[in-house]
Amino acid sequence: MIKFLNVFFIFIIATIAHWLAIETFGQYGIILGVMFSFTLVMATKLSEFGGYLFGFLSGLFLDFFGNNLFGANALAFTWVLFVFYIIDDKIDFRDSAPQMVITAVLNMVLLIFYGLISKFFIGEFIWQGFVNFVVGSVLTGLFLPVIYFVINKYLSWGPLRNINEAKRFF
Amino acid sequence: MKQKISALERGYSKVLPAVFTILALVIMFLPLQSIVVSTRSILTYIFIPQIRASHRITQYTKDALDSTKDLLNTADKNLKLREEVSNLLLENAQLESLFAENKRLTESLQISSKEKWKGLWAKVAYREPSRRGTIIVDKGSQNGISLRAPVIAIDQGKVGLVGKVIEVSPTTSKILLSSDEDFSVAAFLSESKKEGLALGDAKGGMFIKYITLGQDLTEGEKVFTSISSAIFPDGILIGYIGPHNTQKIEDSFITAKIVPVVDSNAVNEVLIMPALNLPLGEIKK
Repeated sequence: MIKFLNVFFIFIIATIAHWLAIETFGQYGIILGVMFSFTLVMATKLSEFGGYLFGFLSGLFLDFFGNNLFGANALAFTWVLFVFYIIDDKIDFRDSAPQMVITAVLNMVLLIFYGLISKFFIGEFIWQGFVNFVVGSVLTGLFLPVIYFVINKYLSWGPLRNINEAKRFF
Repeated sequence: MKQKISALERGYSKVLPAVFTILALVIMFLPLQSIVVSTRSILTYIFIPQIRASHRITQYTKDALDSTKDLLNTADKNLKLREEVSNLLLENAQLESLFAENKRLTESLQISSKEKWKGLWAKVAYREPSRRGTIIVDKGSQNGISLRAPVIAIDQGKVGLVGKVIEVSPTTSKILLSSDEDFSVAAFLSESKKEGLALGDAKGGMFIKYITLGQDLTEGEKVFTSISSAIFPDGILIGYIGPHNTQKIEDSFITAKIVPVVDSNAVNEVLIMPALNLPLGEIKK
């Protein structure tokens, strides 16, 4: 239960950070993939099931607040996590440099997946602009080490310390 | 680095993306519009505190940044102002010495010195629609206003002529604006040292006439009230000589347009100076 509550707490923090990013960067037309960053970090902390579930719910959360195809974000998050788990087996995600590069690239992949899904289901490729595609993804990549550091810190002194050491839980 | 995962977990990891994909597709295909709308409403209520919190954090950060910027700007301005104050103090000291010198020379030449312009500030209470060239102000004879009192005003930091008092009641006064065609004042040109008569024109502007022929008037040359004016103290800025193409020769005199320093039709507050009220033939001191 305590594990679940901690993950839920992180999810809530992710949503706050998401709104914060929207408030701050939205005025410049840039959408930061905060929920996506949290998903990637949690994917390294949780079991695959936990990771997929966290990603699915994060996507669903974005779908609830979006006006487009409901479920599209959840599906895009699932597919990107699938790609991420393939990469994660080959690259050490604990270093900042790979974290930033992988996140930026995967954020671009996510936006393309989302566009393709919307194209397939509603016949319209939903595109949030080239600037957002590049700058938003790069910024998401740059912010990820911070999120990774914060979550790592939280899990290292929280009740999940032992579980964190074992890396996989939930 | 990587933990070893069991065969069960490996098999399970192949199934998981498919399971969540199917789940997402099901969500997409099911007619969930009403549920989504309801859930969104509920979630909005749940997330309102978070939205507010993030908004507050953003606002706080923005305010803090703005305050810091303001503080830095203020410090910078303060430095500049201090420098300006030092310069002004220096200038003031120089002016005091010039004033003393002027006083001494004036006394030695036995000419009258200029008095400080004093007066009473009045607010424009009414503009007569039938006659654009006059205004009514909220001060009258009870406040010491008398007929023919000169009126000046400040417009964009410059002091200039506005007109003269033509009617006085106990609480109000009517001012004839310098732009009215009935208005006239003896004027003096600052550079060419020539005298003329500044008049209002029918279009609400001003012009100067009876300038003796000689050199052309310079555009932008300052036009002041002349010492020969019976109503106005000398040295009040009326305006500037207009462009060359507005200058013409009429009856062996130059006539030129004046660009008034104060837009008398737009003033809201005026300074009414004490009237000179000179009987005819008396010399102004």
